[in-house]
Amino acid sequence: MNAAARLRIGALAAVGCGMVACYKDGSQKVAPAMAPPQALRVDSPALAPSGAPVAPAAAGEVREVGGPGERGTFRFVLRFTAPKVNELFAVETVVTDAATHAPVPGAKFSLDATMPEHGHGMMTQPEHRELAPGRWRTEGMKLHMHGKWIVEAKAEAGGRTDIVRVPWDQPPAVAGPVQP
Amino acid sequence: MGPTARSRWTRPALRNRGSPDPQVLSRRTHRRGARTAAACGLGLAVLASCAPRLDPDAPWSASEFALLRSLSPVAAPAPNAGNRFADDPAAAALGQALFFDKGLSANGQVACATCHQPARRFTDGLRHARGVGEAPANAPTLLGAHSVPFLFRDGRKDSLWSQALGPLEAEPEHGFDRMAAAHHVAARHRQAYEATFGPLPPLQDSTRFPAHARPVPLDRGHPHDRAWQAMAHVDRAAVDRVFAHIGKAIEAYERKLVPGPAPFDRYVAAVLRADPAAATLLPTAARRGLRHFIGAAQCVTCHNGPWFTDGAFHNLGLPRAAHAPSGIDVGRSLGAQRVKEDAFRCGGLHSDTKDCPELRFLNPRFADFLGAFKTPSLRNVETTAPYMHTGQFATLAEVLAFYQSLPGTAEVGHRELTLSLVAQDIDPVEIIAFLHTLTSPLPDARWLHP
Ligand code: HEC
Ligand code: HEC
Repeated sequence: MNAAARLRIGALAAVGCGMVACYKDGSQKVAPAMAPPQALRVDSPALAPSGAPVAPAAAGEVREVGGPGERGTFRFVLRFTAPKVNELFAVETVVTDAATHAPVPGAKFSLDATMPEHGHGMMTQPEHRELAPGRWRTEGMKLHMHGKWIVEAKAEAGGRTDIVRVPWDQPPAVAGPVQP
Repeated sequence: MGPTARSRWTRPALRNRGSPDPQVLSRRTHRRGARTAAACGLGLAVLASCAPRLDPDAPWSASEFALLRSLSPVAAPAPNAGNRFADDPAAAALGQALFFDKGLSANGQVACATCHQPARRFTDGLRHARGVGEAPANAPTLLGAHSVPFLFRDGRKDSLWSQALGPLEAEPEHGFDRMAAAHHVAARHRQAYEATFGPLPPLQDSTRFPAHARPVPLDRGHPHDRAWQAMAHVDRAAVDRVFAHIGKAIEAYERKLVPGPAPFDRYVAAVLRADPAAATLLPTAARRGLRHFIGAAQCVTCHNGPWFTDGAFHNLGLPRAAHAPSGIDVGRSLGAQRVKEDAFRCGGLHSDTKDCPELRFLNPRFADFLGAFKTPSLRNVETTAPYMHTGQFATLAEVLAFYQSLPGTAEVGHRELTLSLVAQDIDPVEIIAFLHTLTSPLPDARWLHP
């Protein structure tokens, strides 16, 4: 089994829901797609620890990345369909307490992506919306170049802050079928 | 093709630079060495190829195969919710008439087709386009313009219909004004207009609708601006609506300009069906050029997708054209601000949609927008000289010489780091031979004249 398939199965097992079906049709089905927070305790192989390299994904593949934050306060799980270069995409992030695994509601939340080697971030300014306690949807992400990105999720709640930095290797150009 | 590109041993890039600075040269050699070693030695996923030993018919790897599929064929224009007439045949017929109509200009001599000539694949062959005056830029082709989210070199417009309104009022281009354009449509195209867009306002009432009027934000004392400010708000809105409809008709026409398959498309189709005759469909040099293009030369980083453009903006650090207008062009950093404020933008009063993600999420303060310009399509590039947004280069050989030497530094901002020097051992003639395979037959003849 290739790494991608393992990751996909890992993600499905972790939340017990057809991730592709849940996320491919946008935000309409947010409620059924919502995973019970404790399900995320399962350490799915899809979760790369913060700082570890993430294998490049083919565009269209659903990915789940993240892990405990750098201060060990919160845990961040980011889910998104691997984007094509230069295409707008959305990310759903679940923020839980690293110790209790309870969702962290009402946080000040941000999600960003930067290319440290090039000294720049994204050409877009994404918007974040809390869909359910601790569960955020970010729209307007766009990786306009292939190469090494760092996706950065940050949360501040109840006087505590934490951040997770996930490396993301965006493959070049557009790969994958363009014609039906 | 210029004589300088004939031999791979005549390095036009180095020749043109006069006596090259030895320091620059050694740094360049170093960088080139490093890249070639990485590409050849490791054979990484980035479609590595070692230029000198490149086999034009080596089996394609899975990722190369996917890349080929992503480059061909061109698809019909995607639906545009911002213009509900975008695929209306009657609107397209009116748009076609307007595109060739010189009556929509200050001197009665200029139409869109003056600068976007069908026979030249909708360009004019000049470094700087000429209308009523001289435009500060090179006229790009319109083929494929529907495929990118932002129009113009700095992306200051976000749809073809809104774009079309720019040249009509630009002084060096049509030098016209929206009020006069509405009168002209009423006089010459009333029936076609009203059949599609409904009744025109009572333009014959000269107390409400003067002969000429338009907003001129940079010159409030301009007679057109004074006339515009003197009009009632509702009348101005009615004229803006007619103006927007002119743009929407022109967009409907432009969407018909889909060129036929190029030799490259036939080649890719043959490769995809594993046709052993594929190799006979392109010259050997072009097949090698294709491998450079998607491989070691990394052109596909920016020139990608079926139209060979990422629709994004990059600072190449191009030399300043000798004939360039004075002043610094900051490119996308101003264009991104302008498009957010444009009166005819997506989601604005005259747009047919409120769903405008490209505009909504655009970050106008993105630092690398400084001095960045839009990646042009490379389809039909053989026929659309001169090149770059101010016609800096007369030939494709000069363009390739630029990518193989990257002389100087950016005039404003900095040259993008993604743009790596193309190794000297890659033969520019082969890349040019490949670019020639992107030349398509013109779109259907019925769209090429009024
Ligand atoms: C005086 C010559 C001239 C005339 C007349 C003219 N254009 Fe252009 N056109 C240009 C130039 C120059 C540019 C590039 C300007 C820039 O990028 O800032 C351009 C850009 C465009 C673009 C953008 C293409 C792209 O890839 O971004 C479109 C579309 C276009 N013109 C359509 C039209 C239409 C429609 C008309 C008539 C209403 C028209 N033009 C009239 C010279 C002209
Ligand atoms: C970093 C992105 C980038 C890369 C890589 C790149 N280009 Fe470009 N290319 C551009 C941009 C941006 C322009 C337009 C610049 C301008 O007008 O100021 C351009 C313009 C051109 C033009 C002129 C087209 C016209 O109509 O004026 C040609 C030809 C071209 N590129 C070919 C290539 C080739 C061949 C390669 C690989 C050797 C390549 N490019 C690599 C971004 C790129």
